[in-house]
Amino acid sequence: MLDAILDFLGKTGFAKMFAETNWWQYLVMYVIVGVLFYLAIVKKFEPLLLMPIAFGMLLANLPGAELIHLEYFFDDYYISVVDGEITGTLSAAMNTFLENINPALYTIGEDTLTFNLSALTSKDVELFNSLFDMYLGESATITDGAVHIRMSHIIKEVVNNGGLLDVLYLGVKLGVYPSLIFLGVGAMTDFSPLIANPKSLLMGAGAQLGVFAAFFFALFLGFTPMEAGAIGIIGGADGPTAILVTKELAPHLLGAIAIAAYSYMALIPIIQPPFMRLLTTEKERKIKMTNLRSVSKVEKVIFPIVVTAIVCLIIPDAAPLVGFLMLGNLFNVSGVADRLSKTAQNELINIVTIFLGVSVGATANAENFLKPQTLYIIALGLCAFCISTCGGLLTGKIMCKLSGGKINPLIGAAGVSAVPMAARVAQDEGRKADPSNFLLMHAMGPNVAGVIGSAVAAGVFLSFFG
Amino acid sequence: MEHMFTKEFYSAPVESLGDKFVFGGSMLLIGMATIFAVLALLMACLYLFQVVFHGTGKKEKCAPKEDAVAAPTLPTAPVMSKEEEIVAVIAAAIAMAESEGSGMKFRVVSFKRK
Repeated sequence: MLDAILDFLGKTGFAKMFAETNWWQYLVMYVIVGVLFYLAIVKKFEPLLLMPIAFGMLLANLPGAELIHLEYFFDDYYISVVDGEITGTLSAAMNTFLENINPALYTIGEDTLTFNLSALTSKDVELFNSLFDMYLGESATITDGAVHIRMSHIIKEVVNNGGLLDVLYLGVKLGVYPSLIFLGVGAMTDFSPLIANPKSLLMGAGAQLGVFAAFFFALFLGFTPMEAGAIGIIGGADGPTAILVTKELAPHLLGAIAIAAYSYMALIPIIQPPFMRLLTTEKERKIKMTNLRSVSKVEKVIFPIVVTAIVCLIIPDAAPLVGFLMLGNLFNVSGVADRLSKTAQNELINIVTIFLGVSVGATANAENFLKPQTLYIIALGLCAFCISTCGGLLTGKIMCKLSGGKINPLIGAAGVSAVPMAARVAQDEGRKADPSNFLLMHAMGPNVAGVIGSAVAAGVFLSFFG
Repeated sequence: MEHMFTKEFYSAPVESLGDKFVFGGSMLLIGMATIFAVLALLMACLYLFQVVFHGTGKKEKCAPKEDAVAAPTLPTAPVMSKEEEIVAVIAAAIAMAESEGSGMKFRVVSFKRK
C-alpha cells in the first residue's frame, strides 16, 4: 500500500519538477505566466491572444504532462551539424540505419551520434542518403553538408506519437494559422481610406524603419542574420506576420518573439504618444485634414486583386500573407459572399486565434524561454516599435511640408500596423491638441498601409533567408 | 561583400564588426527601398483608379456621397415613407388612448382599404 502511494507520488508533476536541477526555472515561468494573465485579464491588453498564449505557456511548463514535443519540429533538436559533423539524438530508426553502414563512419557518444562526413566517399554519400531515406521514413537528405528533415517525417512523428498541442503546432509549423488570421483581418478591414488617399501608403512604408533597424541592432547582440530577421519583424507590429517569419527563420525563438510582439501591440497607447509629442509641434498636431473622397464599389473590388498581383509578383514570399489578406477583403467588398465574409470575420478567426495562441505559448518552455536572448528580444522589440513610430512620424512630417501643411503628421505614426489601435492613438493625440479634430479615418489609411508594408518586409526577409 | 549573401552566412552569428555594419546597413537599405518601391507602385495604381473612376478630381467635389469616407456624423432619424409615417402616428394615438388612466375614448368612424 505504502509503495503504491510512494509510486503515485513519484509520478506527480511536483516530484518530477523537484527532481530536476533547474526546478526553479519552472517557478520563474509560472511568475511570467501570472504576469501575462494579469495583463490580459485585469489590464485587458490584447486578451484574445495573450490569454491563450499564457495558458499555452502554463501547459508547456507542467513537468510530466509532455503536451508538446518540440523535438519533432526543430531540426536541430533532432540532428544538427557541428564543424562538418552531424550530431543527433538516437532513435530506433537510427539504430537500424547504423547497422547497415560501416561502423568507422560514426561514433556513438553518451547521448549523441556523430557522423564523420569527411571520411565518406561520394559512393558512401549516395549509400548514406539512400539508407537515411529508407530507415528514417524517407525523411532526410544531405545537401550542402547539412541533414534536412523533410516535413513528411515531422508529420509522421506527430501522427504516431504526438499529442493535442503537437497537432495544433503543425498549423504554425506549416504556416497555416497566420494566413487564416490574415483572411479574417482582410474581411474586417476597410481599405477605403487608403484608396481615397493613396499617399498614406508612403507613411505605411516609412513606419517599417524599425523592422530593419532592429535587425541591424540584433546583429550586434550576437544573433544570426536569420534570427535577427525574425526579431526585426516585431517592429512590423503585426502578430501573424511575426509568427510566420519566425517559424521559418528562427523557430526556437517563436515563444519570446510572439509574446514580445503581442505585448507591445497592446502597449501602443503607452509607447507611441511620447514620440508623437516629441517629433511634432502643437501647430502640426492641430492640422485638420479635409474629408476623403468617395470610393466606388468597383475600386474596392479591384483593389485587393491589384494589390495581390503586384505585391506577390514582386515578392512571392509575401503571398501567404498578402494573398489571404486580400482574399478576405474581396469576400467582404464584393457583396456576393456574405457568408464567407462573416465566417472569416468571426468563427474562423476566433478558432484559429485559440489554436495559434495556445500552440505558440506552448513553445515557450523554461529551457527555451529563460535565456539572456529573451531579454535581448524584448529590448529589441521595444526598440523596433519606437523606431517604427518615429519612421512613420518623420515620413508624415515630410509629407506635411510637401503638401503645404495639409497633412497632419500624427497619422504617420499609425503606419506601424496594429489595426486599429495605432489609428485610435493618432485620433486621441489629435483631439488633445484640438478637440474638434477628427483624424481617425485619415489615420486608418497609413494604418492599413502598414499591414501591407509589414507583409512586404516579411517577404523581403523570407526571400533572403528563407 | 559577396560572401555575406550566402546561406552559410545567414545561419551563423556575424563575427566581424565591419561585416555587421555592412550587412546590417545593406539589409536596411535594400529592405526599405523595396518596401517604398512596392508601396509607391501601389500608390501609382490607386491614383490611376482615381483618374479612371473619378476623372481628374475636379468633379470629385460634386461626386455622390454614398460611399464617402468622412468624419463620423451624428445619427439621424430613419427616413420613412409617408404611408409608414401615417401608420406610426395612428398606432401611437391608439396606444395612448388605450393606456390606463388616459380617460380618452375613441370610435372608428370609417375604414377604407386601398
